[in-house]
Amino acid sequence: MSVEHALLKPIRSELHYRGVYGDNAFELLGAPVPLYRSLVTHLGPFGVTLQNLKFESSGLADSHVSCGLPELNVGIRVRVDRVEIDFWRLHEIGADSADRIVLATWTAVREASDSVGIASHFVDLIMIAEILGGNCSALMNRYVMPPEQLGVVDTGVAFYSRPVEKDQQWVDVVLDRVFGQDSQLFVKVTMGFSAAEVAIDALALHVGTITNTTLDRVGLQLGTDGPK
Amino acid sequence: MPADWQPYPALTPQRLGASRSGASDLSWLARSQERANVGTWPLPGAVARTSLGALISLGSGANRVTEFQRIPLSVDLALTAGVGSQSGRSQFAHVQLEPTVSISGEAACFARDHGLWGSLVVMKALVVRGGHRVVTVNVDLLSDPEARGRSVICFSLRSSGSILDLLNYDERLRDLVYDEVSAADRPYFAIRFEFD
Repeated sequence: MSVEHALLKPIRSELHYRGVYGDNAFELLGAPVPLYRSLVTHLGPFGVTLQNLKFESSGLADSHVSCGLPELNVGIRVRVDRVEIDFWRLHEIGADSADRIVLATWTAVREASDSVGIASHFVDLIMIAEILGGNCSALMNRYVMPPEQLGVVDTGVAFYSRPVEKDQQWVDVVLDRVFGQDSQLFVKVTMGFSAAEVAIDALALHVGTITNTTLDRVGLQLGTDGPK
Repeated sequence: MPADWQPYPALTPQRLGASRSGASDLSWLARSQERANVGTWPLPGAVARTSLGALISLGSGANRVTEFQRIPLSVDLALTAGVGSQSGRSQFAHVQLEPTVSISGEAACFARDHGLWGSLVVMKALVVRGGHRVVTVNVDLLSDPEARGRSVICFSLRSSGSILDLLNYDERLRDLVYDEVSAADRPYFAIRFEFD
């Protein structure tokens, strides 16, 4: 770590995963019984029972089988064109458990319909972190100096990558203040990449690598505290 | 089906009590709910069999309710998701054949703070699903003297089975934990058995 890097200690985090199919999988929701069966089988270790499964539909695009894991604050939706998994309290369940839930969900979907092919992955990682030995105002001044005419203002900054080819990996980073907490920083890392580049069982490692690499490029480093 | 059969009896002032004087007086609603909960609502037999829930066991750290209670199915489903208590332990009531799991506030707090909550929930599911002779499961935060006093989340399983049963169960459980809990998280969990 260079001296310019700011060390961040994550306080809380959430992650939203979207896995998009290569083609619409109507058969998944047209006859959802195999999907129910495989979801209960593969997500059973995480506490999923029949009570957690629900078929919801107000229109074709909104149709989905939802699978809630209330103890883990995780919501899974299997749609016609994609899988959505929301980890609302990632900092509590840990990245390993999140990775296992993603793998179990994909295993269940593919077991229900082996014609489902994954085209691309999208991940939103949002966290609030403590800035160790620094504050948000000083950190933001590295990136942007507000016009003097504005007086004393808080600032935020966003970096958007420019994918020039179809299916090229892209990463966006948003850094913002946490209102009233100058020692904390809001960090949002959004990324997308082709499923051809990354196997599902390497997804967590890839997301972790991209996140750490990207934050390193903007002068930030995530620190850990305790077992995780 | 009889011609006068009704899924639910008609609400009449006589049935709800004389105090129902107007639309703004909702006290009749609470009383009618109480009647439904104690099973005195005059439902047709077929409805009574399907709308009243199974017998469930309710556990509580300080005031453990040992008797089985008959409550509506909707409440049954809500309770299986977890019920808080004044003693700071999360309570999980399950259907009669599954053990009652009690997680101490310290263990839950440690797990959440250190990103171990996901593995704790997985461990709980493994214990509940596999332990046919396990009666209760208490999850507490202990200090492991063999690991320089490191904090460990300990599952204490009280069982009514024989030692041989428990040895077999222990072996199965260890295999399941090895498969379902990550290597990084496993050192922070321990299992011990208590006999009835």
